[in-house]
Amino acid sequence: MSRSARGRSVGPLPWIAAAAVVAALFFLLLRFVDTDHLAGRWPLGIRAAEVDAYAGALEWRMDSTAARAERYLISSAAGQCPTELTGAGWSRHWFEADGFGDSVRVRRLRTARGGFVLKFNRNEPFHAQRHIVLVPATWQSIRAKYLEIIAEDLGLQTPEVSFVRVIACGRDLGLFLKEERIDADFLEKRGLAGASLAEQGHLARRPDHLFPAFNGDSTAQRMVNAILESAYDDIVDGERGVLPYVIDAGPASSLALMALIEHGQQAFANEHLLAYDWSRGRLVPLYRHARAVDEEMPRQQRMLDALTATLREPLTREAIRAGWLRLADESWRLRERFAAMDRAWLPILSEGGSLRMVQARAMQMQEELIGRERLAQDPLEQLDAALVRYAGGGAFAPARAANRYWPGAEDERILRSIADRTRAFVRGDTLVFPRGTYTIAEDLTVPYGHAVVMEEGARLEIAAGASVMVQGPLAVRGTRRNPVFIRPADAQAFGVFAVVGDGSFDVRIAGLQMSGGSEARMNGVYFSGMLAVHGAATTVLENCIISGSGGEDLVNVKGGLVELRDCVFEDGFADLVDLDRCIGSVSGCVFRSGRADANGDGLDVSGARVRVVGCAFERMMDKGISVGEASQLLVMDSRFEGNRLALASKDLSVAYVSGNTFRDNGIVFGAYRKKPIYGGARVMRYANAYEGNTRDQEVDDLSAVVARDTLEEATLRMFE
Amino acid sequence: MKAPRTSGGLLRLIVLALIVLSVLVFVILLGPSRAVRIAAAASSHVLIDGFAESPGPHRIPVIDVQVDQSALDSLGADLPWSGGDAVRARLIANGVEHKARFRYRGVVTPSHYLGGKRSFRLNMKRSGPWSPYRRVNVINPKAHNLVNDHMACWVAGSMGVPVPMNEMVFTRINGQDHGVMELYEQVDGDFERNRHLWPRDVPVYKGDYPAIEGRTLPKGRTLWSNAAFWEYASDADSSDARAKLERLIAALQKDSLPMEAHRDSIAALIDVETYLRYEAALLVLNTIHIDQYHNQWLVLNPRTGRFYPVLWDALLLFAPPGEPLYYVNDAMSWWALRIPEWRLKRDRYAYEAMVRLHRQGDFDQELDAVIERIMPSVLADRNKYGNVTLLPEDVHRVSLAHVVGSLAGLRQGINAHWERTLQRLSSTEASIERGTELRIRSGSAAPLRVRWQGDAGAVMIDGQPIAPETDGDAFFFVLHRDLVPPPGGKDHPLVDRQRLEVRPLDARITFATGIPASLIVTNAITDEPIR
Repeated sequence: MSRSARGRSVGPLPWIAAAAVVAALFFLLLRFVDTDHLAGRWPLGIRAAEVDAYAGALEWRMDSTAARAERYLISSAAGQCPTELTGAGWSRHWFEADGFGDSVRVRRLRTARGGFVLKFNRNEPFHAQRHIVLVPATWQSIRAKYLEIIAEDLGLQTPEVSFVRVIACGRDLGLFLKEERIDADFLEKRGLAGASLAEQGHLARRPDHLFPAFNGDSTAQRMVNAILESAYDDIVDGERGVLPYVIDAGPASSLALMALIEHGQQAFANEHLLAYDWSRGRLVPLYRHARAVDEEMPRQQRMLDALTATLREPLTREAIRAGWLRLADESWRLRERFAAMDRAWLPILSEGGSLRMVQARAMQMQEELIGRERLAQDPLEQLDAALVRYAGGGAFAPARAANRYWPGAEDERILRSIADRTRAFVRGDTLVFPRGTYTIAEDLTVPYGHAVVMEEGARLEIAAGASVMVQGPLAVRGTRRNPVFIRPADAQAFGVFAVVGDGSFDVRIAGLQMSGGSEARMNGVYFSGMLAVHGAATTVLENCIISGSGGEDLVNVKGGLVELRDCVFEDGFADLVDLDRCIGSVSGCVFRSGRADANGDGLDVSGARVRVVGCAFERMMDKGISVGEASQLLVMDSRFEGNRLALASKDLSVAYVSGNTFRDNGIVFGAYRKKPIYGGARVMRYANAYEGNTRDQEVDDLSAVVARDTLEEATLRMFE
Repeated sequence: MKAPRTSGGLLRLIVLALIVLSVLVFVILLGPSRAVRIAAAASSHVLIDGFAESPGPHRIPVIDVQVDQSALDSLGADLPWSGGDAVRARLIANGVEHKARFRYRGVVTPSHYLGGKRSFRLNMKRSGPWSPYRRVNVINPKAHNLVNDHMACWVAGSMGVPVPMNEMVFTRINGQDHGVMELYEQVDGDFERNRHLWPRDVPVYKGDYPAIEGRTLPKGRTLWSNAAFWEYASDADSSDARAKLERLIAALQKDSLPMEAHRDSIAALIDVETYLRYEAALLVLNTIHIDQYHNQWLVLNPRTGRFYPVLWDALLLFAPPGEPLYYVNDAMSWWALRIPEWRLKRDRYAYEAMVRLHRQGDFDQELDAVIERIMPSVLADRNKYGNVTLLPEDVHRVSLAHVVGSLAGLRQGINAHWERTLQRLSSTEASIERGTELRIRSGSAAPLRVRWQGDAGAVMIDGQPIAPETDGDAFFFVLHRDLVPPPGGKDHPLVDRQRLEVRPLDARITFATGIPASLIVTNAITDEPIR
């Protein structure tokens, strides 16, 4: 056999023909094959990017749309463009968007390539946001939006995700994912004012993941560490853990589900955020989509920590199963919301590419997140892993929370020992203080779920600095003639008398005369009021005289329905009555200050809807009524006399004022924005009587005092 | 067939002759073993490592350092003496440049500064990419398997011993791959802050060779003989810590006071539980790299007011195989081994750890995970350097074969050590004779626990009365073993590298009310009954 050694030249025509045939085949494939198939996984290692490249060159469906994203314009001094910044520090730039323009500080995002953090001036936040994070976006960034929707649906606090076009120094940087950074303002807008933010990693080999990292709050750090150490010890000992009293099963299970949906096997590979809510003494899990996680990473040993440990709690496990089932049952609802987001964002995110291809891929993404196949799997099987406290965890035991109370088998004994110590008695599950004097020498924590009854003539004398905390229904059964007294045992102030609830029981206080308290931290909860009620379903105070506190508030009620009737609140160090996130009414009460050193409000209303009828506000060194944080207030038939400012409406609040008398006040109405993350406020002024006031009103540019003739029926109904 | 005589064939012959000649020259200069090892390492690097194509993305963090090249060259030209000089650097993470200070490190260990993969230290701001850690060492792993120290940290950390943060990383310097290295936290006053335990600096003492002065290697000092030999490594106020360290060192000196007095003094100044876990870790890791002179850290716990140690540069299997159970690393360990109840605790911690790590397979599982994590980076690393002979200066290129072989050796070596040590600790070899008295004899190392239910009665061991303890269900006492130095050995806390041997047991025990019927004898370490 022989072959010619001479090479045969191939002319250009066969080359052109071959290329044309291949191109035609590709064209037909990309033109007529359903995009769902094109968007699927390809064999032989063909990557999606390669398919996109061919599709971009050969597919002529012409389906891209001219959708426009909101534009963020960043201008800088010469040579200072954000894209030219390489360091980790802040620099100042001019920012414009949607009618907003201000000088802002910008730095590179440290956790994702190409991203930025924008920090707005405290007094000029952008859309009520102090910090925003911008990360370069592709069509895949729609996943973050889906995750936000799922997280919201699961009841988690999560920043809103949107997409914007960033133009910096005249150059189009393309599309960016925009979200608010989780900071103190973010927490305040979600009802977690004053909460301490922490980050918790989960890698067993990392010493910095042993405890949550509170940024700059050493009080929260030490207290939470001690609580968690107790919880871990309990878990190791196989006892019923204290964790359910530190982290609510609902949000904990939701976060675990989000970790599973987002990362699958790598569910706890990245760090998570928590907020410590001082008003409840609870850690609140927050959700933010991860900016970078290597999904290919082999499974790593998981730390027993504040979040992973909750996976062992029966309540959390039950909630995880229930949440997963609910997702499966109601995934259609999420898909509808996904579809709306697809319509809004995919035309923007698919810029330059095939919209149909992106839509098909987005559908696959949805399937991966909450598809039937995915949701048919057992979530706990996927989440469960051995938990260990390595990295020297055994050596660092912080001082255990010796003085903290946790519900447990000892509750009955504790209740009886309280009764023995105080000479009160136990009737059923209730601690009863009949007529008589009771000295509380040290902090007294009534066990969870147990009621406390104080009969008329009962007198509690609380030692200096000591406090009483009730964790069940409270009934104070005094009258004006036969009151119940809570007084300091000596000349020094006691802490607080507080009730902490979970929204399931009531507090009814009648005929109480109380004075000489202050504020306190007890069992991980900060109580700003000498008389504090956190989380009761209903709080009723009638015929009480509450006076003379040395703390931030005389009375503080957080959450639930509230009704204050015929009470006198006087001589507080700062505010007299502080109602946070409540709905209710105040009637026939007197708020007055006789102290020259006090500088507070009579009634301070935040995030609440309250009706005030027939009350008197006298000589308050600051404001008679202060209403803020998007509250609604109706004030009728009341008297404001000698206050520095009679009524102030702040921060998106609306005060309806009708039939009142304003006499000898410095200023009658104030309407302004105090906290920049909120907007201006309104005072709706109806017929009132005004005598001898120095000024009628003080209003900023964002707010208004509006005069109206008649109080509408609809407004009255709103406060019923 | 006739071989063609071409110019190409001649050239090949000449090259071959040159290679043979060069090998011969090195064999003559270095000795055959050394020359062959160096040549084998170099050739295996060329022949094997080049085959690793597209190893995939890194699964370990990538450290990208930028340092002015001329500054780097200046430092490099004066190693190891330039090790204390830091220069400005930038650490690039996610495209963001973080300011840092860079210095080479390592005077005592040539693998840190010889060869092409030099170890260095980075000082960063608290907001740096390794937050909360501000000072980290990035070192060329001493063992070819790369993970020796990393695994030692993991083992000790899993035993409840304070360890520095330790991560395997892939490094780049000025855009050039520098290879797989080990990043670990530099212990200092931030130690507790880094763990979110304490908001401020805490007192920390470093027990190591003295700082370099001039251009000579420092001489080691017996750390536990003088508080001045400990370097203060924190910005926290040192007055209380210094006084405690002095008291601790005084308590460690051998004198005429009874053992119990020393025990109580030491226990008031050091966290005994943590210290015994640390001692147990040394046994589990089979290391003598922590000694009277170096690799020691003491952190003063602000919550308890007691010191605790930090395991540092332990090196798995640093000790030769077959070291005795009771090897004295330093004065603290001499006392820990001399106080019987402490020794028993240490042995129990070690036993529990080895059962978990070896018998239950935790170590192999973690090692597999670590290998899986570092593998793409190891394949991508064309800059592997290590000691190829026992001579410290022989730091040369090594290959993937060295890594793989060393990993297998590590696995095999540690499992053999654990098997051997478990057998020593769990031996139940003893003879028990019951007559009017109980006679127990044993040649193995473990202490024995004698336990019975009923009446405590009066118990005497070798004619000496003892007070049995109770655990609520029963009474018991432990027959601790006597440790003695080998013939010619010294028995003093400050003597270097002592080994203590277990004296055979021959105890005669009498019970006033006769030997209880319910009496059982167990190995006090494993709780296994003696049959």
